[in-house]
Amino acid sequence: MLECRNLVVNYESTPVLQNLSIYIGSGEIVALTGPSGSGKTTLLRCIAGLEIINAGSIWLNAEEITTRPAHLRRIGLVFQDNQLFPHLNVAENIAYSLKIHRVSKKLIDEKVAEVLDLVDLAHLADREVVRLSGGEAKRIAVARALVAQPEVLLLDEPLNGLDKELHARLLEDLGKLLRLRGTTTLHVTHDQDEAAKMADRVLDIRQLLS
Amino acid sequence: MNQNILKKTVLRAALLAIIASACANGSTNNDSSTGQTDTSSQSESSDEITLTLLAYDSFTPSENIFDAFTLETGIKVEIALGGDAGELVTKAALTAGNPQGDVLWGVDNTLLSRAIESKIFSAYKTKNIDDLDESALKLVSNYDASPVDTGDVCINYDIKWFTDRKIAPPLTLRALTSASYANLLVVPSPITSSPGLAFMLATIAEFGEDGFNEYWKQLRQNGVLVVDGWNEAYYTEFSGSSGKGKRPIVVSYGSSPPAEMIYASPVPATAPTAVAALTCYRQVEFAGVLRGTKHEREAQLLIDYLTSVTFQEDLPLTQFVYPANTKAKLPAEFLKYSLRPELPLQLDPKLIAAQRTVWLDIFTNTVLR
Amino acid sequence: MTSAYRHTTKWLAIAPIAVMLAFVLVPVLNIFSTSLRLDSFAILSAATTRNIVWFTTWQAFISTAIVLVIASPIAAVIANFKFIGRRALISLVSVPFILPTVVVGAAFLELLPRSIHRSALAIIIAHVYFNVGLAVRIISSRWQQIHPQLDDAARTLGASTIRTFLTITLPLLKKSFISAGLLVFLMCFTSYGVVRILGGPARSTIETEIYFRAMQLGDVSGALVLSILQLVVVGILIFLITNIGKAKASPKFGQTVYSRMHHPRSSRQKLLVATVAITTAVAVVTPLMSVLHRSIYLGQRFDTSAWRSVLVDTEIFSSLLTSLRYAIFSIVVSSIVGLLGASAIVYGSSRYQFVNLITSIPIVLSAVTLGLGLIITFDVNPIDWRGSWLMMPIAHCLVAIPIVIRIISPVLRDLPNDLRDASRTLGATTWQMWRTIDLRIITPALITAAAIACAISLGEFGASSFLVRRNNETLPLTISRLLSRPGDSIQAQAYAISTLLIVVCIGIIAIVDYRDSNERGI
Repeated sequence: MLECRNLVVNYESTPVLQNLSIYIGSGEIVALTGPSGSGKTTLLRCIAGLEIINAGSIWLNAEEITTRPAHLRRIGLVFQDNQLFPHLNVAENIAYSLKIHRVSKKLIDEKVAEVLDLVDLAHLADREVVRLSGGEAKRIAVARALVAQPEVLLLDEPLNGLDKELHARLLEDLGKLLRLRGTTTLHVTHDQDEAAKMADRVLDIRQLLS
Repeated sequence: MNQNILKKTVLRAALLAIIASACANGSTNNDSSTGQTDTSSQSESSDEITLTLLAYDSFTPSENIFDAFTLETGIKVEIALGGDAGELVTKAALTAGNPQGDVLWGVDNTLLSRAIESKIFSAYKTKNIDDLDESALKLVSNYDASPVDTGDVCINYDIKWFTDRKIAPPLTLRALTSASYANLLVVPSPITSSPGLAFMLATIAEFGEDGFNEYWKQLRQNGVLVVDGWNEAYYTEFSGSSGKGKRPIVVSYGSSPPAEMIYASPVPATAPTAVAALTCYRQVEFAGVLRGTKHEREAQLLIDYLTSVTFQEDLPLTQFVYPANTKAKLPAEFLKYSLRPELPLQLDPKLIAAQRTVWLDIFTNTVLR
Repeated sequence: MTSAYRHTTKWLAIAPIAVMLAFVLVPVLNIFSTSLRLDSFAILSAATTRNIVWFTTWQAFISTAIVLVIASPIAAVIANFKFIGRRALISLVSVPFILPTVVVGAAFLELLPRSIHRSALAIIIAHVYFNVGLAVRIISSRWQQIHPQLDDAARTLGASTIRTFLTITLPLLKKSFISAGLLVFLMCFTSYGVVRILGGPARSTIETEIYFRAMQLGDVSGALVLSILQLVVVGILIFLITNIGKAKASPKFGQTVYSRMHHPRSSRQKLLVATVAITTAVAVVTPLMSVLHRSIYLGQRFDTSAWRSVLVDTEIFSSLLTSLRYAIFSIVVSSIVGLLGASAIVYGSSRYQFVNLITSIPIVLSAVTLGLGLIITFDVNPIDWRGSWLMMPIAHCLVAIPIVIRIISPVLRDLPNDLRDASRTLGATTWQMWRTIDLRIITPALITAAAIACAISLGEFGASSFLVRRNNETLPLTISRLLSRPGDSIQAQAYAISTLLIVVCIGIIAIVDYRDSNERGI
C-alpha cells in the first residue's frame, strides 16, 4: 500500500502541493482527477522520487521511503509521451529493468514474451521504437513499467490524445491487465469518465489538500 | 522571423559588396600589355613605379630608409614579407620566371646554390661592385646576386658566469667536448634554425665530413641541449641575456654582444657576453633581381641602392649584421664590442647544397634520436 | 535523403563544388603535376618516415581520448545544470580553440615546468587545451536534445544515475562523441604550431616534416609525397570511423532543445557542479593569464611600455582591422557555402556524397601543399590574384567550410520530414518551406558554425602564411613575426597583442553565445 502524508512541494517559492495526503490500498486502482496545473503530475513525480519534497512523508508498505532514491523505490511510472528509449528496440526497452536486476537471460526472454503477450504485441518484439503507432507505443510503455512487477504503478494521463475507438479499447485492456496482476495503481487523468470506468475509487486532488 | 529576413538581407548585401570589391581589385591587374604577371606594380600614372622587395620576416630596416632612393629615382619601394629565408627561396624557386616581386633580399650562403640552380635570379653587375667584400663576392659567379651583408655565427658565452666560478670560458669547438663544460651548452637545431645550421656547418668545416659525427656524439655525451630555434636558445636558455636561463654557452651571432649593450636597459658598464672567435662560421646574405620581373632596369637600380653606403650603414643597428660594402662606416658599439674573426670557418655553397640532407640526417640520428 | 528538395539539389551543390574546384583541386593538382617526381616515393620506405607517422598517430589518438574524457563531465554539467556563470563557462571553454597556436604555444612554454618542455606530453597538454571546448560544445548541445524524462524513465525502472548515463545517455550521445572525436583527431593529427613550439627538435609529425622538406631542404617533391601519405592515412581513418558509426541505424533526434537544466539539488550535485566549473575555469584562464603576465612584466619588473607602444602603433591597428575584415568575409562566405554544401549532401541522393569528400580536403591536406599550390596557380592573367588581398581570407574559408558543413549536416539530417510535409500541405512554396522549417531549425547550428568560421579566420596561420604579405598582415602573423625577433620589449609587445587577441576572441564568443541562448530561451 501507498500513503502520502502532508506533502508540501514548492517550486521556486510558488506552492504546488500544499499539505496533500492520500492513501491507496494494496491492489487498489485509484483515479485522481483535477484541473490542469493542480499538481497531479507533480504528485506522481514525488511518489516516484523524481521531485524533492519540502515537507511531509511517503510510505510504501508501512516503510518510509521519503528519502529513498528513485531507482530503489520499485515504483513504475508510465509517462504521458511514453518515453520509450529510442536507441533500443521494443524487446530491449521492456527488458531494461530486468537487466538491471540481473535476471538471467533466459528468464528475461520469458518475461518479455509473457508481458508482450499480455498486451497482444508479441509480433513487435524486434520492432524499432520510432516505427510504433500511438497505441502500440502506449502499450509497450505499460508493458515496460509492469514487467519488473513494481509495488505501485503510476499512470500519467495515459490515454491522452488517443482517438475514441483506440481510447475505449486501451482503457478496457489496461483495466483488465491491472486487475489480472493485482497491481496497486494511481491513475491520473482529467477525464472523469475515464477515471470512473477503470478505478475502484475516484478522488479529486483538491479534496486531498488541507 | 523578421530577424531571419534581416540577417539574410545583410548577408546578401555583404556578399555583394565583397564580390564588387574583389572585381575592382582584380581589374587593376588586368592592364598589362604582355602575358606576364603584373603583381609588382600598381601604376597610377605611367611615371610612378613601385618595386616589390621580397624579404624574410625579420627584415627590419629603418622606417624611411628608402626615401632617399625614391627621391633620387622616383621609384617607390614596397616591402613584402614571405616567411624565413628557406621559405623565400622555395617559393621563389617555384615561381621562377614569374615572380611575386622584383627584388629578393635574404638568400644566404647555405641557400645560394639552390637559388642559383633554380634560376630565380637575373644576373646584374652592380655599380658598387668594387666596394663590396671580396671574399663574399667569391661565392657568386656570373653576378647572379650581390652580397649585401655578412655576419658570423659563433659561440657566445656569459662572462660573469665564468668569472664568478673562476673557470676559463671555452675558446674552441674542441673545448666544448671537455668535461669542464658539461651541460653548459645550448644550440638551436640545424634543421629549423639558420644559425643552428651555420654552427653545424662550422663543425663540418672544422672536423671534416667524417669527423663531425664523432664530434657531435661527444657533444651529446657532454649534455648539449638542442632547442628548436635561436630565439629559444638565446632568450630562454642562455644565462647572459634577459631570459636569465641556466646555460652560459650558446650559439649566436658575432653581433650579439653589441646587441646586448644596445638593447639592455639599463645599459651595463661592460659587455656581459663575449664571442669565441675560433668557433665562428661566416654567413653572407645576398640580394638579386628576380628573373621575369617587369621592371628589370628599376630593379637593378634598387640593387645599386641596397649595396650603396647609405643603405648599408643602416644595417648594423637594425639587422645586426656587417655591411658588405667596405666603405660603409660601423657604429661605435660595433667597433667597441664586437670582433670580426680573421679566418672564419666556411664551406663551399655547392658542397652544402649537395650534402645538406645527408648531414642533417646524420645529425638527427646522432643527436636527436 | 528527403524528396522535398530533390530537384534543387544540383543548384545547391554548385557553389561549394566550384569553390573547392577553383581553390583546392586545381591548385593541388597543379603543384603535384609540376613538382612531384616519382623517385621521391623512396622516402616512404625510410625508417624515419615510419617513426614520424607512428608518432603523429599516437599523439593525436591520446590527445583525442583525453579530450573526450575531460569534455564529458564539463558537457554533463553544462547540459544538465543551471548555475551562476553557466553561460560564461560555455564561452570560456570555447576560447582556446580560436586562439592562434603561436600564442598558446608560447604561453605553455612559460607555464610548463622545464622538465616537460620539448616532450610529447607538452604537445598533448596543448592539444587538449585547444580542443576540449570544441568537444564540450558538440557533446553538450547534443545532450540538450535528449528529453529529460528519458532519464526519469530509466530511473523509475531501477537505473542509478551512473547506469542511466551509461545505458541511456551515452548511447544517444554516441554520434556526437564520434563527431567530436573525429574533428579533434584531425586537428591534432595535422597540427603544426604546437608541435613546432612545444615538441622541440626531436619531435616531428607528418605536417612539420612536410614543412621542413619543402622549405628548409627545398625538396618540394618529397614534401608532396608525405602530403599524399598524410591524405591516405587520414582518409582511411575517416572511412573506418564513419562506417563504424553506420553499423546500427541511429535514432532520430527531434529538433527541440529541451530545458534539461535545473539547479543542483543535492549537496553531491552542488559539489560536482562547483568542482567542474571552477577547475575548468582555472585551467582555461591560467595560460591566458601567463600571456598577460609576460606582456607587463619585463625581466621581473612591472612595465607597461609594451602596451603603450602597441596601442599607439598604427601598423598594429591596421593589422587588427585586417584580421576583422577577413573574419567577416570568412563568416559570410563560409557559412553560405557551407550551408549550401551541407544541404546538397543531406538532401541529395548518394550521387552528391562526393561533395562531402571534396569539401573535406582542405582540413586533411597539408597547409604547405595548399599554400604552394595557390601560389603557382593564381599567377597568370586574368587570375593573378597572388597579390590580391582576397587570397588570404579565401584561404581561411577553405579551412572553415568543411567544418561548417560538419556542424550543420547532422542537424539537417535529423530534421523530421513530417514538418516539411506539414508545411507543404499548408501551401508553402519550396522557398517558404525551406525558410520557415529548415532555416529556423538549423539557425543555432548555423550560428555555432559561423562562430567557428570566425575563430578559424582570426587564428589562421597555415596556408595563408605562405602567401606574400604587404600591408595586409593579420594579427597572428604579426605576433609570430614579433616573437621571432630579439628584444625583450619586442617580445612583450607580441604578448600584448596576443592579449588583445584573446580579449577579442572572448568577446566574439560571448556575443554569439549570448544571442544564441537568448533565442533559444535558455
